[in-house]
Amino acid sequence: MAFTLYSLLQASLLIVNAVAVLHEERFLRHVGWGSDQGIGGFGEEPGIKAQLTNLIRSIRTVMRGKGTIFSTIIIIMIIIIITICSVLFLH
Amino acid sequence: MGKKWEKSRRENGKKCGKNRKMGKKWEKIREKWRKKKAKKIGKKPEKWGKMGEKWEKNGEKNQKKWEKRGNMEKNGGKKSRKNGGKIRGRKGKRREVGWAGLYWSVLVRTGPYWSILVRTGPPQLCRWLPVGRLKYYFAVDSVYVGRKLRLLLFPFRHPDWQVRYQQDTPVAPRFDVNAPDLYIPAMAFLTYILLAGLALGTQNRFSPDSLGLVASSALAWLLLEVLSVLLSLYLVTVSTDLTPIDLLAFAGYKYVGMIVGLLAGLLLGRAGYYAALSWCCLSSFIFTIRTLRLKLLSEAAAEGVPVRGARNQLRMYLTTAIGAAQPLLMYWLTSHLLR
Repeated sequence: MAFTLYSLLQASLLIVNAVAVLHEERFLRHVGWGSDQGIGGFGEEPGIKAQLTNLIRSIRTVMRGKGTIFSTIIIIMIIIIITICSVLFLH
Repeated sequence: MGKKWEKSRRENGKKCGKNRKMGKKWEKIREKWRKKKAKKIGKKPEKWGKMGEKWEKNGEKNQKKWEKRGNMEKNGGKKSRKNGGKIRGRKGKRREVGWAGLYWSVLVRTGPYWSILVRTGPPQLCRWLPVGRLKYYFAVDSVYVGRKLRLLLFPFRHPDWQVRYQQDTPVAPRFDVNAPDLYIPAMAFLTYILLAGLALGTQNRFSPDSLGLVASSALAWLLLEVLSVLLSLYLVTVSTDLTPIDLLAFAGYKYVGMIVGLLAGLLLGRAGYYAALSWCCLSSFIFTIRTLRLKLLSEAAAEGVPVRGARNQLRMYLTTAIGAAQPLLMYWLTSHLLR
C-alpha cells in the first residue's frame, strides 16, 4: 500500500491546479456553476452548490497571481522531473 | 603693631626670596627641557621609521578634513555635502556590503512592520493549531484511559454523551469521559505501527523500508480523513466548535479497534481477525455517530426527534458518512497486513 505523505502532497497540488485551471466561461456556465449565476439570496442557507461555486472561485483567485508561477514551477520541476528521475534510477 | 607687621614683612620677604630662588631653579629646568624638545623635533622621521611617515600623512589628512569642515560650516552646515548626497561610512570610504549586510539591512528596515505580523500572527495560528490548548488534550490519567477504552469497544450502554463545559471551555479529559484527547490516538497509532511490524515479521515480509511505508501511509490516510472531514464541514456550512485537533482525535480512535483486530488475527487466525474486526467496526461506527451527533446536528435533532428540513437531513447524512468511513478505513489498513 504505497500511499505516502509525498504522494498526498502531489495529488493535492495537482487537484488544486486543476481547479484553478477550470475555465469559468467555457465549462461552468453551461453546468450552472458560474460565479455570477444566481447565488444571491441573503437567507441563511447557502447550500452545497453555492459553497462549491464559491470555493472554486476563491481557489481560482488565489492561484491567479503569483500562484500560477509558483505552482507551475513546482509541478514541472519537482513532480515531473523528480518522479521521472526516480523511475529511471531505481529500475 | 608695627613690630608685628615688620616681622611678617620680613618673613614674607624670606618666603619671596625662597620662591624667587625656586623660580630661578625651575627656569633652568624648563630651559633644559626646551632644548631637548627642540633637538627631538628637529630630528628627521627616519629615526622613528614608518610610524613617523604615518603620522605625517595622518597629520595632513586631518588638516584637510578640518579644512573641509570649516568650509562646510561656512557654506551652511552639514547639509551641503560635496559628494552629491551619497552616504558614506564613518571612515570616509564606502563600506563593503556583502550578502549578510544586505539581509541585515532589509531586516532592520522592515522592522517597524513586524508588529503587524505579531499582531495578526497568533490568531491565525490559533485558528488552525491551538498550540496553547494542546496541553489540554494530553491531560489524562489512567482512570480516564480505562473508561475511554471501554467506551470505544463497548459504546452501547453509555447514557450520556454530552461533554461538560466549564465557563465556555470544555473540561479537561481527566474529568469527563466524553471529552476528546490525543493521548489514546497517539499511543494507538504507535502501537499499530509496532504491531504491523510484528505482523510483517511473522510472515517473513519484514524490512525496515516496509515499516516506514506502513507508518507514513497510515499517517497519510489520517491526514486525508481529517482534511476531507474539514472540507465537508465547510461545504455543508455547519457551525460547530470542533477544532481540527478534535477531528484528529476522533480519527485516531479507530486505531484502538485496529489493534484489537490485528492481535486477534495474529493469535487466532483469519476467523478471529474477522470476528474481532467486525465487532470493532460496529462499535467505532456507533461511537463516532453518537459523538458527532451532538456536535453537528441541531439541538432538537440530537435528541432523537426526527426533524424535517433539508439542512438537518444533510447533516445527518454527513455524520453517517463520517461514521461509515471509520470501518472502511479500519479494514483497508489492516487487511493487507494479515494476508
